[in-house]
Amino acid sequence: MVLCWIALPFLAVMGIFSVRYRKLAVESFDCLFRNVTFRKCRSGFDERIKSDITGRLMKISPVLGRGFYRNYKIIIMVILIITILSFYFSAVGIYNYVMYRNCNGENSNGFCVISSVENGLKSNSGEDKISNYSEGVS
Amino acid sequence: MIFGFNAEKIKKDFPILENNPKTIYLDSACISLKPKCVIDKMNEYYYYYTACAGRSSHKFGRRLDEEISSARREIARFISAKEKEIVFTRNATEAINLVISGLSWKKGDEVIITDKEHSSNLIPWIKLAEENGIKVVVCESNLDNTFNMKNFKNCFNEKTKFVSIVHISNLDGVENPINEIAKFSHEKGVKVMIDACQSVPHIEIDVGKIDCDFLAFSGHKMCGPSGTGALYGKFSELEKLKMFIVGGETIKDSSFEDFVPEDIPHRFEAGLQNYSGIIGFGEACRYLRKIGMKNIGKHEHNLNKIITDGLKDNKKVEIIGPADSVLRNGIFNFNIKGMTPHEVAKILDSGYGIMVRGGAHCVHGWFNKHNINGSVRASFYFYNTEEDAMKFIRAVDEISKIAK
Repeated sequence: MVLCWIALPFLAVMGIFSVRYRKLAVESFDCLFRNVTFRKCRSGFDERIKSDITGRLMKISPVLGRGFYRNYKIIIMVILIITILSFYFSAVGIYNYVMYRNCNGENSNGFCVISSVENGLKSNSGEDKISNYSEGVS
Repeated sequence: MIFGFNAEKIKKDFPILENNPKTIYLDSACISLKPKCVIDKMNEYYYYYTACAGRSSHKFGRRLDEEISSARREIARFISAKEKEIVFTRNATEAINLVISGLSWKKGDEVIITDKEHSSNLIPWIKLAEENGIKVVVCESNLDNTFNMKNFKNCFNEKTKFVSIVHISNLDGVENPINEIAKFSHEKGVKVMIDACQSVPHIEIDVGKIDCDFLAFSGHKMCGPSGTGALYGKFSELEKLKMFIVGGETIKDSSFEDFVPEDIPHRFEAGLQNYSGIIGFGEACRYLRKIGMKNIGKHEHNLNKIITDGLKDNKKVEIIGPADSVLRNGIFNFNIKGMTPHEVAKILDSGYGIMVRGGAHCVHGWFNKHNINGSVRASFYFYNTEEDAMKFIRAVDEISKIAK
């Protein structure tokens, strides 16, 4: 059940590009929708993903597979918490960047991944060269 | 190993196994894999003589007529029937529906089936009961899932009109004593139809010896292409059947008011047929005959014995059906305590490359009656090897250890 909650945003994005993930995203959404309307998830989505991962781990080591299968709920809860925290901090970072041009907040000199990406894009597109050329012409 | 039978060598006939060397396919009760000769034979139709059968007198048409006739002869020979007693259908489900639609029913007529019928031999009867007021009488199996002859005989009364029974169950591989069933039914003046989907591909069938009135089977479970099946009917019984789907190819002539039906069996084969499929189906019968049906049966029993012996001491593995593997033919149906069948099937697939079926196997009635939430079914065929069986045992053993 919890897995649907975690998987939906990722599958929704991946589903834009692939039919395979689109189908999973629809199942995941159906499961989530049934959960929020207090009904039992009927797609078997959780069971399938759990078994699929268990099988793949069994290939590496039966002990690993067993560990995952038996502690599946705890592992998924941990991933859920990490996902929520990561969404929260990303949202805060984006907000800070929009407001102060730095994801760490006002008057901060800390590393900001969005600024770095933006700077990288600028230098790759040759924006500086264009502006220099424009100055020369004028 | 059975003398003169080499599953390792046979595997090479199947391109899909050559292309997926690590895969172990144990879902043949659902659909079997196809040998190269069948695929090639089907392609021949598209490469060399694409035409309409029975109506085009050109070179392609004549060649197709010969091939279709040869396929019908081959399929008839496979079950020791006559050519004119074989009707091509899309699958066994259609064959069963053809018989049910073709017979005349009146309110109160009773039909006997078993509690392990596939949906294809259950739902059409339920529908008929709803529409025509017939009564479906279900014959209960023994506790170990074997056939109970006493219960069967007790199901008869003066209203009993028809018996429609599975030969080998797709649930647990148990074979019903159809010779006795047919004999007793005929003594009571009742007609008999056999669902032989799981028997024709695996054991020798002689419809003359069985003495059934109708017998339905599918091509896709016996190395033939999907979308193919056949109905055997005694010629005298086929003559009594009303036409099923009517239209092109089912008539000799017509006016705006009337029509003259085609001869049997053509009157039951409406519209343009799946020619390449029918030709492939015939080739599949030829191929299986070459392998030898006795060899196939023995090999499957051997594999089931290896697996049963290998897993019978595992306390978490619960076998569905009789404990003796000989009674289960080529099917090993089980559950692992503490795990759902879908989990087990999925782990076998993703972790071990072993393909089995998880679920109710279209025998929902039986599972609901026993309050069991499905099972895992491993079904073997002659292209499975002893090595496959050993790998399956190891995999199930390992998986059973992960359940709490």
